[in-house]
Amino acid sequence: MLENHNVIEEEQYKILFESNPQPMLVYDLETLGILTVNDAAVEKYGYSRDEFYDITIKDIRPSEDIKQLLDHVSNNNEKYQFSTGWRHRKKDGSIIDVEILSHEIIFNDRKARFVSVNDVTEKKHVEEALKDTEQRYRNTLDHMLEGFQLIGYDYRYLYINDAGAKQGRSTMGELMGHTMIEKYPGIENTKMFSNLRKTMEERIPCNQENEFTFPDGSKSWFYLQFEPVPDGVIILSSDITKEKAAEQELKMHREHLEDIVVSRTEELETVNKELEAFSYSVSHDLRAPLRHIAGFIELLQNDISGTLNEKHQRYFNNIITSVKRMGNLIDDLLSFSRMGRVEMHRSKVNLDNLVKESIKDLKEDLLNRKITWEIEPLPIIEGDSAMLKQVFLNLLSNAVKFTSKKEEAVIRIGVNEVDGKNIFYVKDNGAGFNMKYVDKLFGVFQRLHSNAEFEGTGIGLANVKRIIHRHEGNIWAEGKVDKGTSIFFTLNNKRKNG
Amino acid sequence: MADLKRILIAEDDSNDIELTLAALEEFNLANEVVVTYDGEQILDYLYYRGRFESRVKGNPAVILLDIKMPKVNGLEVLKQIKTDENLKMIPTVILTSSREEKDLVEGYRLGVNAFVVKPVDFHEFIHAVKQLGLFWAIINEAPPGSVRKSKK
Repeated sequence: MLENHNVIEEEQYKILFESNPQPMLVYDLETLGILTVNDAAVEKYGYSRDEFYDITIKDIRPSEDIKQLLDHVSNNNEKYQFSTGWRHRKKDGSIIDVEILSHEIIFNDRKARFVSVNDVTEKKHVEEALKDTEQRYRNTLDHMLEGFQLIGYDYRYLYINDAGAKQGRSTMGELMGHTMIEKYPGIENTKMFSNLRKTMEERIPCNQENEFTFPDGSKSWFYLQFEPVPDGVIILSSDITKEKAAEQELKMHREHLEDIVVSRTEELETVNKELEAFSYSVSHDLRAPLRHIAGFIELLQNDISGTLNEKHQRYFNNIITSVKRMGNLIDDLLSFSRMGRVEMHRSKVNLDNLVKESIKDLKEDLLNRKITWEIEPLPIIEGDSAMLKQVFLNLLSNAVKFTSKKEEAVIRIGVNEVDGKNIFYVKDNGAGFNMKYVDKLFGVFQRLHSNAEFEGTGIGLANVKRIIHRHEGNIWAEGKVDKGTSIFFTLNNKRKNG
Repeated sequence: MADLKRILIAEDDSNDIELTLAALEEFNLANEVVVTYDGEQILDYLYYRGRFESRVKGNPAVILLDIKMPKVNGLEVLKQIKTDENLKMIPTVILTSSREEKDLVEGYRLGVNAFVVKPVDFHEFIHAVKQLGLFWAIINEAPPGSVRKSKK
C-alpha cells in the first residue's frame, strides 16, 4: 500500500518535471553529457530527446563561451545557484539569452546538476530598447535648443539641459543638486519665481515672458513655460531677447509712423482750413465788387437810357455779360474747390434716376432742339448721390451744348461690362475734339473751344474728374472733330460693385 | 439822431448800401431805412447805446444783416438778437454774398428768418431786395412793439 503510494508519488513528480513549462535538463558533472531533458527543453532547443542524450552541455553554447562554461563548472562549489548573463545555442544555431537556476543532485548514481533555464532574450531586448529610448530622450533633452529644467519641490535642480544651463550662464555640473536660491540669490523675489511657486503649489501650468537680470546687471528676455510633473515642475525656456529687441524696434517704428501720420494729418487739416478760409474770402470778396459793377452799370443805364445810341447800348451789354461770366467763373471755381473737400455720403444710387433728373434740369437748354436720346438701363451703384448727379448733369449738359450746331443731335448714355467692370459712357455726335488735345480736356480752366463757339468756364470736366476720382474710378475721352465726343468712366474700382 | 424806422440794415459796404437803397426806392421804402455800418453799431441801435442812446423806443419791423462785417459779424449779431427775449421776435434776414453752406447752416441754427444770397446780376439783386422789403416791411404783420406802417 505504502509502496503503491510511493509509485504514484513518483509518477506525479515525473509529470511535474516532464510537463514543467520551464525548460529543464540534468547533466553529468563529470562528462557534461545530458542525462535527461523535459518537453519544454525539447521545444526550446530544437533537439529531440534522443539527440539530447548524445550531446553535452558544451553543445548548447556558442563556441566562444565554452571556456567560460568549463571554468564555471570546475570552480562551482555552490550546491544551489542562480546565474545570469549566459548565452545558449539552439540546434538551428540561433542564440538565446538565459538565466539559470541550478541545483546539484545525484541522478542515476551520478553526480549531476539539475538546470532550469529561463529564456530572457525578449526581456533583454526590451530592456535594451528601453535603455536606448531613455538615452535618446536624455540626448534629446540634453541637446534641445530650448532650456529644460526639472525643479524639485525644494527648488533644487534635479535636471537641467545644456541650453538651460547656458541661458543661466552656468553649466549642468554647477547647478545640478543645488537650489535655485543658492545659485541665483534674489530670484525668490522675482515674478518668475512666484509663477514657479504657483505651479509647484497649485499644480497648474502657466507661462510668462520674463526679463531676467543676471548678477552682473545684464538682462535677457525668456519665454518660460511651467508644467507640473510628479517630481516637481518642468520649466521650458526660450531666449527671446532678439525677438524682444526686434519687437521693440518695430514698436518704435510704428509709433514714429503714427507720429508722422498725425503730423501730416494736422498739416493737411491746416491746409484744408486755409483753403476753406480762402474760398470763403473769394466767395465774399470777389462777388461783391462784381455785384457793384453790375448794379451801378444798370443804374447808370437806366438814368441815361434815353440818350444812348446803339453802340453805347452794346458796350453796356458787353460789360453786363462779362460781369455775369465772371460771376459764373467764381461760382464754378468755388464748387470745384468745395468738391475736393466735402465729405462723401455713400449710399445706393439709382443712376437711371440721376439721368432722368439731369435731363429734366436741362429743360431750358432743350428748347427748340431736336435731340434723340438713346438711354440704356443703368445699374444701381454705391456712391455719393449728389456728386454723381453733378457728373451726369455736367456730361449731359456738355453733350447738349456741343451738339447745339447739329440739326439732329444724338446723345447716347449706357454701360458696357468689360472684365467684370462697368464702363459707363455718354456719347454725342457734336463738335468733338482733336485727340491731340485730349490731355487738356479734364484740366481746370482748360477749354478746347472759344467762348464765341461754345460758352463755358472750363471747370465742368475738371469737377467731373475730381468726383470720379473720389469714387475710386477713372475717366477718359475719345473724340473726333465734328464727329462727336465719347466720355467713358468707371466707379468704385477698389470695391465689389462698380 | 436816427429815428425808429421800419427797416434796420447792418452793412459795411457803402456800394451795397447804395444799391440796396436804390432797390428799396421803388417801393418808396428808402426813407424807412436805418443804416448801421458794422455789428457793434447795430447792437448799439438795438440796445439804445452810444449815439442811439436817446432814439425813439421800439423795434424795427425787419433787420437785414450782412455776415462779413468788422468788429462783430452778422452771425454773432444774429445770435445776440435771437437769444434776447426783447429782440428775438424781430424778423431777421441774412443778406450776404456768401453761398457757403456752413454760414447757411449756422444761420438757421441760430434762428434766422430768411437767408438771401445777394445775386451778382443787378436785376436779380434788385428783385431780391424789393421782395424782401415788400414782404417784411409791407405784407408781413410785424410783432407787437414794432414800428407800424406810416399812414401817409
